Amino acid sequence: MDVLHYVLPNSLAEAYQLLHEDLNNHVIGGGVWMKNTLKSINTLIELKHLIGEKIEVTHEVIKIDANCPLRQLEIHPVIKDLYDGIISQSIEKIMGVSIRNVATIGGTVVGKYAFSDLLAALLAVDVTLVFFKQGRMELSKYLESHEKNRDILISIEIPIKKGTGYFHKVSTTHLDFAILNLAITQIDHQFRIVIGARPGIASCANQAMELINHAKEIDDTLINEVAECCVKELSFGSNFRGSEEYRMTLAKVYVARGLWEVIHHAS
Amino acid sequence: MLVNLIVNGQPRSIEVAKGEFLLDTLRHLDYLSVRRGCDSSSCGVCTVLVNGKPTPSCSLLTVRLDQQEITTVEGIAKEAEKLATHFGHEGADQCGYCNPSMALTVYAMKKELKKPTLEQIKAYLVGNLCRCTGYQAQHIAILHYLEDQS
Amino acid sequence: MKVVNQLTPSIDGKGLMMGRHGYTDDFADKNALIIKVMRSPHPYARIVSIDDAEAKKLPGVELILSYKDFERRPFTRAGQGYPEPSPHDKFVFDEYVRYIGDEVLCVAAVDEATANKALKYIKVEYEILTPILDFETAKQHSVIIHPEPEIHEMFPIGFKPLENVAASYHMHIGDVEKSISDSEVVIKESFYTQAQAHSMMEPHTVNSRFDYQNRLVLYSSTQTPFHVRRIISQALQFPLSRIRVIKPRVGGGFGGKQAIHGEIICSAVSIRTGKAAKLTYTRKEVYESSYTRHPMRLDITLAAMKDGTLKAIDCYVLSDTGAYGEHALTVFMVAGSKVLPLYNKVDSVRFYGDVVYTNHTPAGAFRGYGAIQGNYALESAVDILCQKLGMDPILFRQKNMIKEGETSPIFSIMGEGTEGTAMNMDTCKLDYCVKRGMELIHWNQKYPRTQTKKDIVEGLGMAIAMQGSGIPYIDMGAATIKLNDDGFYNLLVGATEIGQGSDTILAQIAAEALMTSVDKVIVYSSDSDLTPFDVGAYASSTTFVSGNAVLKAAETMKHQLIIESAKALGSEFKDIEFDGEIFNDSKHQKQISLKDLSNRLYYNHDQKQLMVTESYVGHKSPPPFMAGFADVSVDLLTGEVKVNHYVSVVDCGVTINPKLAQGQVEGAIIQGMGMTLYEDVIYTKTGKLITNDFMSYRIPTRMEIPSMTTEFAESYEESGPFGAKSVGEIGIDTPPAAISNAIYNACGVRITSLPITPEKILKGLKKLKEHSI
Repeated sequence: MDVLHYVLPNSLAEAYQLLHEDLNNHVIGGGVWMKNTLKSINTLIELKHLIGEKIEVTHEVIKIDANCPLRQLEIHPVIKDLYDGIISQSIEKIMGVSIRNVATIGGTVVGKYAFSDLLAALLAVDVTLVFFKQGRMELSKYLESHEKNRDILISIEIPIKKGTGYFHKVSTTHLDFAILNLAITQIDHQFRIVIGARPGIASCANQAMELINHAKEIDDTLINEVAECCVKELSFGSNFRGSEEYRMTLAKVYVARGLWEVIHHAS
Repeated sequence: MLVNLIVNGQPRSIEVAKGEFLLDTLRHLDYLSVRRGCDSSSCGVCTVLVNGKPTPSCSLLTVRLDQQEITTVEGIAKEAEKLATHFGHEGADQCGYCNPSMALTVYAMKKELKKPTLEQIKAYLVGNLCRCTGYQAQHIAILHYLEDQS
Repeated sequence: MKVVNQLTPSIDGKGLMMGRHGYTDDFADKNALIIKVMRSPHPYARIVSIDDAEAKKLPGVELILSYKDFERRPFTRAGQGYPEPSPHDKFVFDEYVRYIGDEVLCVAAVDEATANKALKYIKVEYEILTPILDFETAKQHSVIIHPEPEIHEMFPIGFKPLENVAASYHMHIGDVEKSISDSEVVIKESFYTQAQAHSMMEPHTVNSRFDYQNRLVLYSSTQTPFHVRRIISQALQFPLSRIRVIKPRVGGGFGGKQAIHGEIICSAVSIRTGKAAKLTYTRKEVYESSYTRHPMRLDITLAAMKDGTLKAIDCYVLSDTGAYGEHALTVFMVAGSKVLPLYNKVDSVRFYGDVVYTNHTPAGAFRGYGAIQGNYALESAVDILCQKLGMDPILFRQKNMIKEGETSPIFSIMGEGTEGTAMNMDTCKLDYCVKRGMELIHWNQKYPRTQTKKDIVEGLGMAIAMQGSGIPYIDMGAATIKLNDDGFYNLLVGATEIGQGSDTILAQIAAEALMTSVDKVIVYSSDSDLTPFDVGAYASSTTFVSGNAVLKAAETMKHQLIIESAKALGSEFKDIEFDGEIFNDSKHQKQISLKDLSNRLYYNHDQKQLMVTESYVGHKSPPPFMAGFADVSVDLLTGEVKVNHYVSVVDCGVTINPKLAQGQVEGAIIQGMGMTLYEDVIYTKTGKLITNDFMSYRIPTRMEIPSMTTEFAESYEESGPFGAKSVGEIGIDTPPAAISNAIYNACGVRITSLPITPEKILKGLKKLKEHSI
């Protein structure tokens, strides 16, 4: 990788300005994926002295600094328990421990990687992002926007509530990227269903969620209807990891299995 | 750019290009136990410990590591030898290309996890690919190593 | 036995774990020129012009070489004995490029950045030609991949380049058509296998320099240092006597380093510049520009009587050798010769077909070559036949398979490029392997299937396999044993340790024969100047061929030692007993230790160096046999498969090192399982390989592996060293058919193309459902 300048700015304001001076200036997170995607960089902006890697837990929220390595998140005792541990589970399935010691939550979120397992889990618990310029933003909104976001992510906040969850990744081998991933939660009696790597980026199945959240009674028939609904409302596609048709089948099967598990776990 | 690394406890100053990765820096410094297996951070062969944590040296820019502690297998020689004894007993070593990175990762795991189960061991080491052994003998050897109080 | 067949840790395991230097790149000169190869972006094209003026101006660019810089002298990179059974169809560089990744030219520069930069500055204009990307259309295609007049075969191998045929073959025994029409039950099926990639952890790498005697010295990560030396000399017309090839520690080969990779280009750079050079493949180059397993289509017809007597096997094979013909014929032959004898009681057999050129990455040697493709087809077909016969597949095999003391006419007909060698199965414990495997997998309790959970079904499947032990009358190995003062030995072998443990097991053989311990036998292997000749690590030859050479050398050394001790003691040869440490003449109550004798020989009396060399060439190739059993779970809703348990019962004669032998089997099982389930090879429509790194080419990780039970049958092969046969390849053969059969038994879906992906299974399940409605 060719890097012309490596800069440690004095403030986030300075970093922000630097980032906007040149499209080929980049903030570095863990740097793992950057190496695989960028051949040459003008200015590499280092923020490790400005943005930490702490995880702070209050009664209502877990606040995670953007530079927190995935591995720290994965093994954090509160996160391991929260919503049946789906955030930890989603991280466990990303490459090996050594990569997770380097890759950061900030890099994962900002990268908006369509294959990301963690994004699916985070979306299912609806986390809030805190940016330097734009301030607070829901992850769902961030992922939906197609604009090139060149803001600096400072931290991520995960709400602490009572709830259950399910995460599943389908892949050829453990180290491979997902053919499909999905996360389902039931928090405050509300279901959220998220499907990612379709191969498009993780999205909520809003109509399906509506259907189940308004149902009077949840039985096998409804679960199947909800699963069908997910497949209808979300777009699926083909790549060398799996065909559109196969992804749709997987989505149907695992939404049903996931819902069943979440419901039975809650009761 | 001048970077000061602490490699196996020894301060090493080296002038590096800003885009240079730790793997190349360490090999320039003759730490030849650190090796390349791929170009996409996906095989585990180049693993070293940075501040005690297993890390892919092929993906870390050296300029970011000023004053950081780097450990290669030479820095944990006794533990590596002990692990090798158990590998030897199980016939778990074949080509050996990835063995230093394996030793470092197992060593870090031993420090991090208390009495890991076989499933936990697999999960911790999954990023260390091996095309030779079929893994099973490695797992048996690692379980013996973890029990070894000598 | 004290050393052989005993627990012996590998002699190099500790040093390697502790990170000691030893691999090829560790020996590269620090100031070596870095070579980068420009690779073709087109599957088939003619180079119209090369403009390297700008690149040559770049400071630090030392040399640029293309086809214009070499005489046209075709050779083969296959890394086989001479004359090779592979066509001479490759030039160092050529005006034509024949696959995406083929060599266009190379740059040598002071560092990697400069070399890469130079590549960007070079403009190459191509005339783009129509490629052949579907091997089933290659034969007699209007496009000719090798039209050049200079290329040739070394002896008849059915080479017809104008028809895109690199090799072809036909043989038959009996009247196949008649046997089929006389039979009561006939099945016919086509099977496809993919271009599996070796994926060894150490990429291909080589470095070269001239030493102070002005000789070209290479370190290379190779399986065939002596062949490499010969081929460099032939291709570059550089005197053989001025080349030294050293094979240091190799980080995995599996056949992928049998053929030449960067050695010729690297040598050419050193020869032209006089400077040290190095060429290391990127992982992408390893996948795109080294070699793969030969993809094949195998059409099998089996004919049997209702009582389960197999009458005929008819097998047509179409093999894809890619852009060049390395191992084209030999891999094809093994698909028959190491598979068909399993069922030796048939009335008639036919085996025929072609190996065609395409514009894909060339195929080459890969562990179990040919055998794994043939085994998948035949052992799947046998289960299909049993289904139709309504017969238990194990009973069928027990009735029809080869047994100890028997033979097959195939052995004498089919060799590797030449005729074969007739032989009887002096050891064949296949019967035991099958019986023991049934117990270990709980066949009688679990076959064919059990529903374990809602939507999850477990099934059992099995396959039998055989391999060889070197190529008779061709593969030669030699060993030198040198006595040192203080009474320890050096064992110098040409045999090529590539991680399989051959240095250790050869030391064990020498130590056993010399009645000493492994630490008293210091091994040095594969240096073309210092060690005796050996063909290299391929064809499952090292334990059997090189091992026999070591055993002979050790016996000769023992004889010499006794002669010398008798002289020293003033005794007669026949009165000396030697236990490995002491020479004892009990009749006259005189003795001398090996240590004292050695010191005496080097310092005091009758001074001389004791050093012996022996060679071995096999007159037969005793096959190891095995039975492999798979226990798999299939998810009926998603088609996902998990292999729960794999049982291997292997007859490889006496295991010289039981744990290392087990490692060979288990490592091979997992490679075979990778080929069966995960290792998909995908090209774009324009012939570009998509699966070209560890992120897209999925080798098994430690999370996928089943629990493995591996046992060895009690067996003693008279012709092998201490009763041993080979074990390097046999393990890879059974997983495709055994797992495929298990999947069928679990869910009724038969997949006839590898890899068996969940998508394919799910499609099959849907079809089954439609048919049952």
